[in-house]
Amino acid sequence: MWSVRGAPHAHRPAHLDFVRDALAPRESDDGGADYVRAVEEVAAALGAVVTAPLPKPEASSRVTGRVPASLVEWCPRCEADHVPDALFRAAGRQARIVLGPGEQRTTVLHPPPEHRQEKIDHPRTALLDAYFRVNGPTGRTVFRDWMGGDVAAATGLWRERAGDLVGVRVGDRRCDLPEALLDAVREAPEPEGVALLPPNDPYLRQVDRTLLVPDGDRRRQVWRALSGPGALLVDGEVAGIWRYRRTDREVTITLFGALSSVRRAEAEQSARLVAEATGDDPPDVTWD
Amino acid sequence: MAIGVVLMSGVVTVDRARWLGFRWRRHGLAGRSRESTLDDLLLLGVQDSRQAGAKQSLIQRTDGIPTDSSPTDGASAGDTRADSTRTDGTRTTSVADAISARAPW
Repeated sequence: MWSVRGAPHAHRPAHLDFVRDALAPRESDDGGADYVRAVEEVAAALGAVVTAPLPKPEASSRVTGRVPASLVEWCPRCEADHVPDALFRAAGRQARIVLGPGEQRTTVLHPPPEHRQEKIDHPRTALLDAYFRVNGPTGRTVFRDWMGGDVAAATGLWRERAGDLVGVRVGDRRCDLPEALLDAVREAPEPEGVALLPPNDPYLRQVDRTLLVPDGDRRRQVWRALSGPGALLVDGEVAGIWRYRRTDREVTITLFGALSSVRRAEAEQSARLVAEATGDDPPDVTWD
Repeated sequence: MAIGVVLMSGVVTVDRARWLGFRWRRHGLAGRSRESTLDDLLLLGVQDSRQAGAKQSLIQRTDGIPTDSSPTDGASAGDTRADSTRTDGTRTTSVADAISARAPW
């Protein structure tokens, strides 16, 4: 479903309510009451329109006819009036619309599935708590950027948790961490292993990029705005980048430094998983 | 005081290697991670793309995540990988188990 930053994310089916509630706009957020109302109106229209699988352009067109004109803008790219995409996605999440692939690269919207929902109290706080459990010491700005950039929302969450947080310094970065996690962080064994992660993997998304990849040139190679590569991780560090050309059944790995033959063999095993995820035969691996 | 931690001016200094190690484990990349690791990851969401992004993220992790519960009902993303049983008798979670809020249902 459309989740943080309006980007499509995989979640457990039992967590659709949780995601909706954790990310639902509040009047105290940056957008204020007007944005809350806008999301609710578009969500109601989407709920009425998406009663069966429907391509996104068709859903957008039908929703446009059901919402106030004030919520519709001229889109030069589509050459049509429609609800702006960011608002449309936020409303889709609010309506618990589920995303699926369609023909010709079109996103297909599906109505909410009938699935038992796990009740999670204080969903927004629970989201932050899970973020700390997964990522450890974190700065408020890093969390805010991951969540979608809402300053008021992130500030409010930090204020709520202030009594539980301790200041932590990692490298030259000042972070916060729930005190209850401090021992787990200080006793963490050093990372060991190899993995080829895709461009938007959580390990690369939920992180202070400068802390993970201190070298500026390497950082620019890893986080490219368009058509970004995947990252080769070795013992926790980003040791290179990779790309998969399905038509050639080839994974090309570009190393940032030397890598032992044992680690190369492990990376080649991870490359097999990359192809397996798309149902392809094992690829050839080229080292660059 | 434990290795990697120094307390100065009310701020705890954590060695970067410990930070990396914590994230490596909690992101399910350390091999034998707990099922709760995958729960937390999917609570936050795993970003998807037309290039099988979420599947590629999960497949790098799920081979190593044992589970003692039945497969997640209703979870399907068209993936056909079945659960596998290790030589020590523990089951590993397939991508189909792990994923997701995606159609078809």
